[in-house]
Amino acid sequence: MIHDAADYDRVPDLVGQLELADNPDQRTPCMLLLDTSYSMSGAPIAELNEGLKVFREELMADSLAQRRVEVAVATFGGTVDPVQAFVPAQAFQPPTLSAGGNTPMGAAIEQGLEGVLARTRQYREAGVPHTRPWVFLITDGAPTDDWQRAAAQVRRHSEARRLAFFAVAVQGADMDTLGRIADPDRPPLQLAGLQFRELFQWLSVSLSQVSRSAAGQQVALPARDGWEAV
Amino acid sequence: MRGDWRCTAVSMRGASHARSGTPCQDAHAWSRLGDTLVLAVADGAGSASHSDHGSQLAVETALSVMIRGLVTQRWGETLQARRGKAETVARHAARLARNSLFNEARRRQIRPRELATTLLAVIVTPEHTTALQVGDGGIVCTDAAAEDPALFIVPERHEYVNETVFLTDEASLEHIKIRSVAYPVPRLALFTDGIEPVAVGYDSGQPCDGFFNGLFGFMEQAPLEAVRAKAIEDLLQHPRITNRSDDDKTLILAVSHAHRAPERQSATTTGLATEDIEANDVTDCEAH
Repeated sequence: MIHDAADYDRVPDLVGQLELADNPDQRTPCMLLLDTSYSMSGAPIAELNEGLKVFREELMADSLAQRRVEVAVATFGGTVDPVQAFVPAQAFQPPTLSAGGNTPMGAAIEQGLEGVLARTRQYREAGVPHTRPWVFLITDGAPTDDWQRAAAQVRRHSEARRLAFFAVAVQGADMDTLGRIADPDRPPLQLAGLQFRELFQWLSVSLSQVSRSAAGQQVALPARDGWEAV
Repeated sequence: MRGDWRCTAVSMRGASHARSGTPCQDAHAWSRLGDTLVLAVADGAGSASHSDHGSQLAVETALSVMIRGLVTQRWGETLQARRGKAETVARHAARLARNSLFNEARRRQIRPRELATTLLAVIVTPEHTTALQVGDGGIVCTDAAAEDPALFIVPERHEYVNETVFLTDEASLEHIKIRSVAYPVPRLALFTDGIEPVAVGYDSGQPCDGFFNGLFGFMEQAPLEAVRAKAIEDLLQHPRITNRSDDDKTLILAVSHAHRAPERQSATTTGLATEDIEANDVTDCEAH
């Protein structure tokens, strides 16, 4: 069989000939629970707002993460406010938050957990692959409402691996109570000063890594030294 | 004549690893012995430091165990016995691949987890098709040229997409899936999970017909291996694929006999003594 020299050049463009499966993107959901109580007024809330902008910018720099990472936001300052339902990072418009009121942290956690579990239920029903959802709580105080039920739920759902709960304390936070609310395997971390930008930069990189399905069960998260107080 | 396999295999490092300077952690190996074909692919765990070595070792071990198992078949055995033996050989391949990872871990003085990998392997003889799967990725075949492609093994469903079983896991041997059928499948594809977003429907769990039929048709029509390999490499780097996954990607395609453009023939003879044995264990990935 004699082949034309031209045969060597004729590499077909396969993509044009194939049908590709029409799948939604896999999802990496993250629920932000943010303390907007009175004590956050002034510099803290301003820095938190800047941090949220950094969060979005960093995720937008990653073409896959911006589609895969889903963000929801609820604040607790006086009342619990579901500021943002789950959206892909590329559709996330960072809200400008203002501070006021007391700290209904217990209610915020309960509603946040419910929201996250509802979201994974939706994924399962639609066959959308997803990573284990994160719940990320940031507070500078102590809960002014009943938090025992919330703490029990955090424990129960964390143990059942339905979610991963993170707690970050801003200066002035009641670390003792926060320690009792948080997942015993993941004690609360202390933010150095008001380094919200660095914190959200870390969070965006971490979520991007989690959103890579190659990660496997143990994701090596980046170092926290940019924002954590030792 | 059945058999007469045409096979093309590519492993491509994904953009995610290219960016981080991590080597490709996918590996593949295949070998043709007359009418018989053995294939294996493996996907090293992203969080494991040496999983590129793990996946390479797993496919090489699995392949050599499967080849040895086939070659030692006694001709007096019944078909039943030979098929039963095939499943035993497959299980043995997984077990020995796992052992080789543990031995290598000891040799390198690292934890076995650092060599963690999935493993998928297939043997096709004129009498049966037998496959094993540990972890994610997929094996797709058609039963006859006209039928739609289907998953040969239905993988385990995990709750979270970034979690799967690895060969080095404690309980991995309990999670091996093995299947054998009493005929050779004419068209076969093995792939790692980097291909899944474009190849398998999430909600149905079924392979995308137009994807696999297109690829099998291409394999049957393209006579030159260099062209086939280049076309698959280009495909795996195309934005419409990399846009959906920046993971490492491996794809092996195999089609048997000829309603296809004739291969450039090298001298082949039938008969066991002088079989055209072609072993191709490309373990390098193309840089991306």
